[in-house]
Amino acid sequence: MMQCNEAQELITGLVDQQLSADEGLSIENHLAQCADCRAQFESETTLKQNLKLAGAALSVPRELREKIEDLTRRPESERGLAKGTSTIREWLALPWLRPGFALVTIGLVAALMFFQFRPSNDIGSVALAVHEGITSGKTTVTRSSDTARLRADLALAVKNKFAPIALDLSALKLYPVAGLVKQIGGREVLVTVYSGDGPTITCFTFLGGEGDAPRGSELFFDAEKKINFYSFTRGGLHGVMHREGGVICLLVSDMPAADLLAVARGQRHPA
Amino acid sequence: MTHLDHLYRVAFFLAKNPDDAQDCVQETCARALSAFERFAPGTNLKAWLTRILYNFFLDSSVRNKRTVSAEGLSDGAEEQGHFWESLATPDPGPERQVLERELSEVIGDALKAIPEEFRAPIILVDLGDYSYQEAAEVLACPIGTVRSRLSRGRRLLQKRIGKSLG
Repeated sequence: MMQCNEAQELITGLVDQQLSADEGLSIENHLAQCADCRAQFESETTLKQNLKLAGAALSVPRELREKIEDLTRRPESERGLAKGTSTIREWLALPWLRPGFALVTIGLVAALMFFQFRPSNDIGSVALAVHEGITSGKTTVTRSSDTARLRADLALAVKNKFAPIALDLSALKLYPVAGLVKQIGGREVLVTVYSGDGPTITCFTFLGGEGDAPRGSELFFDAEKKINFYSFTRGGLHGVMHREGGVICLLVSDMPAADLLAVARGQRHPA
Repeated sequence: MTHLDHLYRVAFFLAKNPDDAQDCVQETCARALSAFERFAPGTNLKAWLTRILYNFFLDSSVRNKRTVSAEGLSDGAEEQGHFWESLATPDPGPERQVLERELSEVIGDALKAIPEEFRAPIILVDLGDYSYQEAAEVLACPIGTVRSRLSRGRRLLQKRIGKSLG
């Protein structure tokens, strides 16, 4: 039978109508038998109604709405141009500037084609592919039951310029079991595989900066640790990157993105 | 702009005063516009915008040591004055106005007195009408953590509010 202290979170979920069918059934059974928890449910429901009322009564001040609407309506072409020349069309109307524009346009197109068709050096995409290769068994890794030895061997492979970030994932029953060294975009990357009872996490360590954050990643600033975390998702795999000094730590896993972010935030071990 | 009311509600109850709330929303919109290519189509725009706002709030709180606490509540009368100027209801009538004013004062004071980790889920889910999933995305934590903090936070809030509301 459910105890009242176990019922508290389920009461909250019931008030918000965010329970699974099983959870809903178990809390309703408990409420049918427990007057105290019924009173708590009524009280929490009333509190939520009052909070909702206070929230709904608030709307954006007109002045602020106008400022923001003005900002969003303004064409991008008008945002960064100098005063007196308000549109690109006016610039193009100046005959003496036309050859310059032609050259710049050709240069831009060439640059775009170069970046579009060059081999992908996006470390995030490569890391996801490496993780997939490791978990599917297609990528060969060096396995070792000696954690310290594995770490020392990886560091030695990069002449001890840096060492793999050491994560303590024992709470998740995950332990470093294998590693390898990869060359990604001309850089040496140390790869450590954490495996065990839960979803495998692959940790990539390399020298870099915040500019290595994969495109499309979401930034989360951890105010307590004063660290930026970059979270990204592609093809069902999630990655979280952060910087520790000059060393980048990138974790990849198929566990939920929020959980992986929590794992990354819970760690801080200098390389 | 979509979700502007939601953003302002969250900013209002997070920030110390309406001016900070307005700055927070304006900065959020500017950042969102300049980083819009980083928004993944098909994902939750409201959660993405609110996350920018929440990160900016945390960032500026740390920078300015402007964390909201029980201290400084003596300024509450002036803040509440701004609050009532921005209420959406055009003419709620004198009786309702008095009741809503009391309600808001009690809630505003109680919210300011509970720790940030419990306050944020209440602001998002109860005042901002966000789902657990959306709140989890904003706070970058699992859904279970949102529910447990919400549960604990509401009990703390009930204790602060006493019998006047619930």
